[in-house]
Amino acid sequence: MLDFITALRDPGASFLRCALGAGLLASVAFGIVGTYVVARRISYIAGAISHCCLGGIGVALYLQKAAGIAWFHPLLGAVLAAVVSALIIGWVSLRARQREDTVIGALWAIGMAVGLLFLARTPGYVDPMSYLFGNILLIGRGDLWIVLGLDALAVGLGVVFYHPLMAVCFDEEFARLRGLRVELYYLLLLTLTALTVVLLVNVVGIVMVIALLTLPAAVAGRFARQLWQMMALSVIFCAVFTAGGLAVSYQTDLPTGPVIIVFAGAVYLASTLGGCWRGCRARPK
Amino acid sequence: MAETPAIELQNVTFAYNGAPALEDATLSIGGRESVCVVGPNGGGKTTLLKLVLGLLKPVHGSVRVFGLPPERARARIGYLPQYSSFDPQFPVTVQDVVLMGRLGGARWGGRYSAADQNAAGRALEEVGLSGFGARALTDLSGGQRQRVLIARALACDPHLLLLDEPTANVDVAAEERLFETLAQLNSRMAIVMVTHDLGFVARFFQRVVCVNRRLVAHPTSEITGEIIRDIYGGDLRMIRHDHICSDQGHRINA
Repeated sequence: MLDFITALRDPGASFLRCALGAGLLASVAFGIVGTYVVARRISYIAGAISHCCLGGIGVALYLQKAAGIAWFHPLLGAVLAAVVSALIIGWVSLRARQREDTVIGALWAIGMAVGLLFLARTPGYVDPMSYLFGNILLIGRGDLWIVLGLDALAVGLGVVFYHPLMAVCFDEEFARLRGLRVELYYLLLLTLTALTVVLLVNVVGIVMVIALLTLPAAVAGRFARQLWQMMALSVIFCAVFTAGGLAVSYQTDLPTGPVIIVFAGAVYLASTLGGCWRGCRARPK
Repeated sequence: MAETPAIELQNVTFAYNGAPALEDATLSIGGRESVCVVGPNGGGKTTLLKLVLGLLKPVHGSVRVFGLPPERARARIGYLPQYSSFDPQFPVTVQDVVLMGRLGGARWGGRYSAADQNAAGRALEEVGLSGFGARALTDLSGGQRQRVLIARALACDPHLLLLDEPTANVDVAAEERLFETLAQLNSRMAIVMVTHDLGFVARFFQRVVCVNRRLVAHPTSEITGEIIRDIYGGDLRMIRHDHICSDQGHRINA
């Protein structure tokens, strides 16, 4: 642990400070949006959105390197792919509810396939592993601003529309009867999820997005009595998981994403078992 | 001038993907009436409520609520949905749930006003839960949660209260309290309640509507049936049956 702290102060290790900064900043968005995702039970949609990001990243890299469009950053590709796939899923689930799961599954795989095909045709070698399993250490100073921007957007929208989003998550039908534009709020929620997923892809990679989006919120849900408490707690949990995972991975020279996820998963499992144990003891004999 | 009825259905037919759920239903409910809707599962009780709320559109016929199309009358309807449709783990306080009754179309995000907070407080008082505002919904009993949801419906300042199975999952004492609350509310709003529980029907409601694809309204009569008393206990009124709804007639708890 001390090595990690020493390394953070090392002027040569700015990549580590960037990684920690990005992780902590992004945790705010993860906690807030993750809470909505868990409360509304749409984590499988987040999974599909994250796999579509690879499509966007693949296209962006191809355009950058093969077509010479230098400004088409992979992060931009990921944002576009995420938002478009979120809106497609939202549109389908609002229009034709019974086919929702098919469309989610299809987008999940197609996004991935498109990404791999474009990467295969991109000149030079691109390692899809760092996108699939994340590499927080690749986040540079410039990326930090993008992370901050996405973060601010997700948090701002999530906080400004707190009451209507809560009403829509709690009881969509009742919210509609009160004259709330439920469809708009649902699409807003999916867009927020998409932006957050892009942040997550940078931290833990496409495959493990769902875990870091939902596990902190699920642990927080055991202790919280209100939605904002659940958000605040899950921001804290997420920051602890990210920072802790980063430290352990640095110390043990293991890949960061998986360490973060295993850490989060262990805490979730412990809190669930703890909850069961208390539940059993509280039950009258 | 005749008062505009709270609900007016004229020859309403509704079908889910071709399978008729309600056929040729005609019904008028006055502004201070209390009406109970009974019938077998899948008979069309909830369909009837959703037509009144404008969540479903009739295939034939017309639905008017306070003389308006249902979507435009929604602000005047308080609605208690079926109990099972909630996530019991949702982290939310009682006050926040009741405040959802104050959400409206014009509001963009934003906070609730003092008037909204007061209305929520009054609604909680009305269902006997004043002082429960800060409690978490998950900490309450089934009967208390049901009353919170009724308070949410009342926070809308409704002129028509629609209750879908409010006595499911609720013990007898809670049911008794609910009945007292409804009797008070009935002095200023029409009440329509869907239920399985025929004991509840007879004590309070002025009319009973039987829904089994077709719809028939009965007045509740004064006759006390010894058999029904034996089954349910307490003082009950029997429903006058002077028609046959189905081949087997009505069956209690069929």
